[in-house]
Amino acid sequence: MKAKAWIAPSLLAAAILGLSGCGENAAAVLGEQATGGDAQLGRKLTFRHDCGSCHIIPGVAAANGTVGPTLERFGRRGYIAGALPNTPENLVEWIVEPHRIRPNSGMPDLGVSPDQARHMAAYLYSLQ
Amino acid sequence: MRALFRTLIGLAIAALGLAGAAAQTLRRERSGPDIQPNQGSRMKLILKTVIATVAAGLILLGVGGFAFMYSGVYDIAANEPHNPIVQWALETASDRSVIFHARRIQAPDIQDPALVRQGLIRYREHCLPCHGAPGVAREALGRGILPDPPPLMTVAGRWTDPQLYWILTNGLKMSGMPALGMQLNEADRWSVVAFVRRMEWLSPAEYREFVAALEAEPTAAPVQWVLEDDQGLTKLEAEGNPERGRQLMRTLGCVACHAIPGRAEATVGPPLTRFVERQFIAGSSANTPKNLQAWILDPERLEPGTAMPNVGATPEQALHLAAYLYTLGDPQRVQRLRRKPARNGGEPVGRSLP
Repeated sequence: MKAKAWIAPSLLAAAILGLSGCGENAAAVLGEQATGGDAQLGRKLTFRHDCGSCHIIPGVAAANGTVGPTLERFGRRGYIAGALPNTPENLVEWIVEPHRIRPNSGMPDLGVSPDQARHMAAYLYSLQ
Repeated sequence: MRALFRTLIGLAIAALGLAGAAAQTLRRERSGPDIQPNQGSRMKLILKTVIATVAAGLILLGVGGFAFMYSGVYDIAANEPHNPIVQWALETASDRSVIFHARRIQAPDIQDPALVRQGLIRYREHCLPCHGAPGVAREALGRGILPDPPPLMTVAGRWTDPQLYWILTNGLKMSGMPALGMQLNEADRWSVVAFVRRMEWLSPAEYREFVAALEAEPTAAPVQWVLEDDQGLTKLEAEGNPERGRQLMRTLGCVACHAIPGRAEATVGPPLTRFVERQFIAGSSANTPKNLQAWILDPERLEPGTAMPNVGATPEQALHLAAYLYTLGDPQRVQRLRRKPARNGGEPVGRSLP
């Protein structure tokens, strides 16, 4: 009786925990193929560079800023910086040196290296 | 978010376990005892059991908590995020404390050009290294801090003037925010509040003009230390029709490129989610009713080379579109264009996290 009482809630919890991870891997692979970066590392770097203080970024802790546009579904975005086609090369360049592309942009130069930007791009492209 | 979810599930399992245990005890109690004790001693027994259980639980919790703390397994590293529950507890305690302690502070009138100008000087010395400014990144000193020093152009809106003054005077424990009361006199501290309020409506280019004016360099136009009007807010509210704006989003084709939660799914340009809370439009102008209408009417003029096309809207249509877009999100931000300085601790604002 005692043992049986635990079976149902445990199974339920396991099912919910298991399901919450589905679907993300496929999207991460898409992002990594496009950029050659590591999406998981990119997610960490996105947190560590405090991108979330200005942008809403799904999956990044406390990323609910409203200074710039939300990055929800960023992998499907047509343009970045308001004018450039959203390609991996453009995105990396934009993250590394936004003011070279748009001198008046509110997006600051944060000292992100091109390698770090590639990982961050891999993560952003996983947001479908 | 997922961590929060998991913690909640953990708590739910614990609650289920406890409920099961309680149910079992009750069942045994009902079916069990051969001796029938009288009602009084039975109540006493139950009371004793409850007290002993609670006491044992508290002791166990204390011992366990200390063991957990002392073992050092909790990760204090700033480069990993907090557990969302820990974060919520820390932020809420901090916010409530600020609201409580700032309640008796009286704010002076800070809509004063000289005060704003002085505030910019102090802001650049004491705040910019960690908080940055429009288009200006925080310096190396301010990077990698947890909690991360928020961009004040948006965050200041969560606080009243006295609350802002209290925070910068006294600092915030465990956050990296220093108490500036030792370094700045009272007038200087109010000047910082005055500038931070003005910064909410500064574009990166205007911020550079402010700095240039400070250093007595010639600027294109005289800088507006204090906003002279409400940037078209009154007209927008009086004449803009959000419902017509909503229809125009379709007829003018806006929704072909922009997503609106629950209404449109396009992903060519950025989603217009919570648009009224957005700091910048076109990435480079302050998000005010006036600028928004100018942007809709002629995007190329505001941002040469932009992918946003001129949809041929009339000024009247642009007004309706702006009225609609300003229904998306929390309108408090744009209402501050009309703000009058608070004379006391004011209404508690605090964090308004989504």
